[in-house]
Amino acid sequence: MPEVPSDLISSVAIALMMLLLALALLYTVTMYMSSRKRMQQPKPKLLTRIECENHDYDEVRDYMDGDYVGKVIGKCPKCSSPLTITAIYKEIPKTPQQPKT
Amino acid sequence: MNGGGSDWTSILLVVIILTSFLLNFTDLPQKMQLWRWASFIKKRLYILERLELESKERVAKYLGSKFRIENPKKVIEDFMNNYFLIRPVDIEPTDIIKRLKHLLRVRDKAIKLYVDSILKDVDESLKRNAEVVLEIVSAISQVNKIIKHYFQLGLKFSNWVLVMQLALEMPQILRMVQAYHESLEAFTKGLPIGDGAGALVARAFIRSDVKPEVIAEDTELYRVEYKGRKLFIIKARGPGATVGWPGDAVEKVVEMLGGRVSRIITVDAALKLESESTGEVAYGVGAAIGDPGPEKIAIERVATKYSIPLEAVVIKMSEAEAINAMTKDVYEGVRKAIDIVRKIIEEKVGIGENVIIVGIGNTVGIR
Repeated sequence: MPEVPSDLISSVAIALMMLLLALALLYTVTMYMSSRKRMQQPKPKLLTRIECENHDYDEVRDYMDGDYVGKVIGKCPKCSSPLTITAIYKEIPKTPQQPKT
Repeated sequence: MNGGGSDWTSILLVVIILTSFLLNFTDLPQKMQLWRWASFIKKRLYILERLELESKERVAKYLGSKFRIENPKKVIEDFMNNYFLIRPVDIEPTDIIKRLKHLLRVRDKAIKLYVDSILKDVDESLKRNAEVVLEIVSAISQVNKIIKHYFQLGLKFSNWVLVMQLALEMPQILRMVQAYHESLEAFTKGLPIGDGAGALVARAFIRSDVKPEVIAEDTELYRVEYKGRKLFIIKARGPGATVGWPGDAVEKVVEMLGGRVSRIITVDAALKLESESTGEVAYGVGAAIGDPGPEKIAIERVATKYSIPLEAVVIKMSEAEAINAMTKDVYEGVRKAIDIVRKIIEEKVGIGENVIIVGIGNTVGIR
């Protein structure tokens, strides 16, 4: 049986250990980055859409307690027909893109 | 140093042979796998436990502050352990729909009685919201119980296949429970949810001065004129969280009109496939309604009886989006669906003809 030099075996063992350590480090960094990304996600904004029944006026404002779709909240500033809430939805604000260097 | 290499080689060979023996001729790999999967499940069970606890606390706070209930935790516990439904016998399918419908209505009434007994002198829509809030906590607790049951069963009998299956399912289950937990916000505040997309489409055809008629329990009918066509719009009574009984309502309206209905258009939210995007709208034929059976069959039967074409319009979304506050993408889908319904009416319904539009789904936050 050919003799394997002990130096070679210990070098291989050290290289394997280094590789494992590097992989563990890479895994930890990836997990940390993904959790940071999750935490940085902006909170969704609740919005209420108001429309005139004759479709000549509409606006979107922040949601207020007591809002529901179909609620009449006033008169149209243009034609005086009822202004009703037509939708309530959440929108995730877009984060500004990082400039590429 | 001479011969050192040969010593190392012998040790390495012994280690390889021993490891190979342990891995091939003992249960050690399975035990190791079981241990790994079990620790994976345990970590997620802690999260489930936390979600259940947080949900209970949130609901207790909601019941205590909004309705001034003295012991909200007892109200939640009393609800959670009761009100299950035993499904009807299905090996004898005769009249199974009637039996299922009866059981669903009995359960619905029992829950309403329970909530009525706790929330006296409270607006009906708030009572409906409280009902759904209690159902959500109950569902989260039930999922938690079932997961624990299978996990403990797997460990008890060292059934690594069961534990592995559970571990593989855990991320999906956790996502679903997380969605249920988050949906409490919509129901406690009374916000429209994704599932209400159908009801929102129906609402778009109703002006504020049109008075509704109660056509079935928790279900309303609106009579509207649209470009010379007579629209009969059916939706659950809002803005409380309810889905109503649309099948019963459609049956009654068609019979009331003596079958003289040009078309029945059902609009509902539908679960999207992973490759589809939220807010996509599709139309086809049939009754777009995802109930356990009685409501859908009622629509199909009455449409078949009078040969009325059934049109279905669906707005695609994920399960999490369906039970949470409506997103902008879903709302954009609603707008597309409104245009499609208008097009169907204008192209396929003659002037002076009757058409029934059914907005299916939970009408929380939509009057």
